[in-house]
Amino acid sequence: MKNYILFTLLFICFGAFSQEKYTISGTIADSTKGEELINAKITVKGLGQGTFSNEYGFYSLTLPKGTYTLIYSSTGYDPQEVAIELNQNLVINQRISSLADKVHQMAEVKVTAKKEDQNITDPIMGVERLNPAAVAKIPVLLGEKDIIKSMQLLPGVKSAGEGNAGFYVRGGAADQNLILLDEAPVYNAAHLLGFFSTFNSDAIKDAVLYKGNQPANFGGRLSSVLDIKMNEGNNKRYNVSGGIGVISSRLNVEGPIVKDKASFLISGRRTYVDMFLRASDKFKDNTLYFYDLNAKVNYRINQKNRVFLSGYFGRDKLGLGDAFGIDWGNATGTARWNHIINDKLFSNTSVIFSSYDYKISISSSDVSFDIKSSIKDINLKQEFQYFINTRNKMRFGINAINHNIIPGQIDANEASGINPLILTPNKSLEAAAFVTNDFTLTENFTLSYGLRLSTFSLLGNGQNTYSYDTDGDVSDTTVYKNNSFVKTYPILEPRVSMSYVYSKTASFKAAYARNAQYIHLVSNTTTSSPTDLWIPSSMNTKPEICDQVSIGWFKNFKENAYEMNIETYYKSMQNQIDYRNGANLQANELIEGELLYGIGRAYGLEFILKKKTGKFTGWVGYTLSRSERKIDGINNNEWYASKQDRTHDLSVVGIYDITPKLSVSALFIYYTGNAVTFPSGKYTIDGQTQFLYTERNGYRMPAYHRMDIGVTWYRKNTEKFESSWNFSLYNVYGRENAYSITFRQNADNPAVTEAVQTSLFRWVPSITYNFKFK
Amino acid sequence: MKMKLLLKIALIALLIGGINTSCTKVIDVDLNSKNPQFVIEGFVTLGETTHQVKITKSLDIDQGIAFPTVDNAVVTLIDDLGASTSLSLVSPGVYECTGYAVSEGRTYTLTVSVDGKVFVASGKMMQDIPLSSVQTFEFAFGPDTIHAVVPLRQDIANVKNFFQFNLYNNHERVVGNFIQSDQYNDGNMMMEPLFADGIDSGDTIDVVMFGIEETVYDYFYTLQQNEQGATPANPTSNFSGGCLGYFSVRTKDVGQIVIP
Repeated sequence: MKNYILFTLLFICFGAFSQEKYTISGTIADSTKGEELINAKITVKGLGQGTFSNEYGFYSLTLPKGTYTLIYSSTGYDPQEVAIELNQNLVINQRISSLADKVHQMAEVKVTAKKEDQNITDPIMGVERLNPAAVAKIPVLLGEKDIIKSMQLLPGVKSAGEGNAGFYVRGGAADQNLILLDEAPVYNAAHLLGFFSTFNSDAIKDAVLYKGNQPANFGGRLSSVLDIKMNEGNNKRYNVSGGIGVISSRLNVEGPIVKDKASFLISGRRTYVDMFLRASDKFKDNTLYFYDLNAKVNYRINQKNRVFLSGYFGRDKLGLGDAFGIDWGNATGTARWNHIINDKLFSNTSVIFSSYDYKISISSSDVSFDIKSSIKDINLKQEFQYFINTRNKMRFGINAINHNIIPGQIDANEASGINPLILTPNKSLEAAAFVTNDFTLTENFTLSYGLRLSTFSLLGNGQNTYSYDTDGDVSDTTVYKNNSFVKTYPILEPRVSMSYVYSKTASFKAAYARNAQYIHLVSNTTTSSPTDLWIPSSMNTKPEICDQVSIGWFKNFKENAYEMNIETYYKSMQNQIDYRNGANLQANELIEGELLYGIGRAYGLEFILKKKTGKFTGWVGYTLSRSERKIDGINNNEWYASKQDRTHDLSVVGIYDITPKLSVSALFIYYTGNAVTFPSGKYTIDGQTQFLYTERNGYRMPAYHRMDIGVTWYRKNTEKFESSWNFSLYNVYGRENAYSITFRQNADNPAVTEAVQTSLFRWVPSITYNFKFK
Repeated sequence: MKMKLLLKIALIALLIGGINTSCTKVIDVDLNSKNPQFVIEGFVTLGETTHQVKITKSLDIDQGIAFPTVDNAVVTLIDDLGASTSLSLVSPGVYECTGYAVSEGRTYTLTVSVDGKVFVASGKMMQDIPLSSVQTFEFAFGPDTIHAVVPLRQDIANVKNFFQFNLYNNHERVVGNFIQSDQYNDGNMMMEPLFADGIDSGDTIDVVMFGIEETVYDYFYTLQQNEQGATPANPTSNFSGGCLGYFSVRTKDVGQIVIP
């Protein structure tokens, strides 16, 4: 019933006026680079009305006939006022200039940053927006600027472990985050066993994280959507920029192909940790590196049509001599066509390819074999954005993804004595139709509501499809014809969020969202592993469903210089997956027999106080939360803390600009240790001591805390060249944080069992030199 | 499939060789205690007529390793044709029967009654697979040479086979959990190497190979997983009644090699 009401609501267009009205539309872009600006604000001076540019920099604003002054602004940009006489539809392609460009060119400039209050007025809650420039000064491990690691400093987002690029959002698991790079899902967003994210910040324009209340145009994961957009490439002039760091170097080349019409960007990064290994006798034959390549071209065919082609390719390689090697990586490609149908209707058509694969090679003199696994997606998306009037902004569209998973494949030579094997490939089709509307009821009350109808179909593959009994043994085997529909799950996902601005500087927000997830990552390692496997929903594994309600209070102080957001949420999750004790998850045809299913719940309170302007900027973020699961067959079917459960999570970030050319920064992090399983006894088996466990995740790791500091020093800035140095020290006071705790017998006295704590990074200094030829 | 272990080695290599920052230390962890559990290890071995069952109890973590033996159990063994025997206490915690011949294809049931509790497990004797030979396999890891032991045997096709190995280096039992299955080499000459610490040129390695059942393999597989960073858990016992341990009905063969 609830759904019908929503549906009806969706198609009622509010606010029919009798006045004569015209539309101003166009794009907003950076004046020096020509890069379109996402989420830039267009306000009507004195009217309190306005709009934001979309992800392609396009905006549309409909007003009654009259004389207006429009203010074009964006964070870090000089606001630009434009006076207009509105008596016909207008196209204004506005260029605004970056404050950063000004700061570095002039010795001193009075920074008149605009006062943003989007946190208060935007109906969407649980959203965090970051751009690489804003986080460039935050110190990071080994000096590798990393958008995901900066994201982990925000409330509700937790790092998966020391130095790890994996993250948990609001008590959800790491696989419940949809990570999109130019709309293409990135399946394994980590390099080097998790220490670096796959996102080279040179190539990134903007990143938005929705913590579960994403609008209906997003779907497919339970906890969050991290929507990352790549730079388009400067369409005015050529730039070569790069950085030389302790463990990696970066190079970025961009420029116009046809000035103001077409541009390109190529950005690459490679680590050289293996150089260090070469210095050591013991490890000199080993390989260990990763590289990334981002490339993008775009062409503006005419005012109404534009095409984009973007791609990412990254690979990790790790080898122990010739005997053992593993390499893994993602590849994505996105082709898009923006079409402005009219000044109110914007269309985007995308064809997206995404893949992840790994390969393990083992060889000796005459034996060799490879183990491979892959996931490949082809994704079609058609979306319309309809700027109905100043009160309504609608998006609707459809999306279809074909998933093709090869869970495992073994190629072996005859001498190896190993049989070649191809585990049954999984084929499935994920489809969705969505409609969402941002509706401004009054100046103070805004609403965003939408509905997503998603379906998932497991397709037949002409091979055995298994059903399992409660013990995980095969109960039935059926063969379905190739590409026939084996099982289809349809799920309606309503999303609604609202904001009520009750004073000039404060608002209340509330939101409800249902999210569904159809493919699941199966992993029983404590940190992420390149060999973790994605499995589709099937006869046995049902789609994961999450209902989240949240409310929040948003308050700004001192003319929006300080921003305070407090949000609380409750999530109820169905069809959560865990694995049986001692599960064999590798190249296992009957992998679903190793899984157990149940429910989950997560709730928490998030607090953030930000100082956004002035010489001193930064924030304090704190999360109080709980994440639990109840799964048949684990802990006597009682609730237990999930791995990502952390009671307290505090982060403090401060950046101080001593002069426009020199800034210092520091951050402090404290969080409760993860829930872990420790032994509660021991016994003897086959003459060796084994540990006795009582419950899963019944213990806690010690609390984690550390402080990092950094210095950014802009050296030169001329018309043609600029350079900067970045120094950082990770873990300033050398805290030995527990990465793992294992138990062993004391070597001298086997009667004594010791707990051994392994810590990874103490006092890691780094230095990075960044340059740019303009 | 020691891949996760190898990844870990690589990680440690990175941290030690590259950024000399990782460190370990012994810390205090406050652990709960758990009521003592019965631990039963029962063996019925093809080609032998003496069979043993060991019964001990578990301890808390801080209680040393003098595991209490259980000496008051009643232990009986019966096969699916009704041939039964009882096992009697021969030394603390060790029960034994003699003169009980076993054969392929037969199912054996072990019953242990103690302190009012009854633990029962059954197992079927698999078809015997003999060792063809024992060879070695060497490869260089930096300046070191790693010697692995390769127990060769002809697997039986279309049957799931599982193996467990006890290694003795110069007659001393090598610490480790050595198990293999024919999941990836069904019906072939099996030659998956066994990696153990401390094997050098000139060492005499004795290999005792047991053909075991899947339940016992799974028991040791879980113990192996526990050491490799997965969320640890107690292995599933094939005994009913709620105890730790396993009943292994197994074939046996032995081989030897001197490391060149």
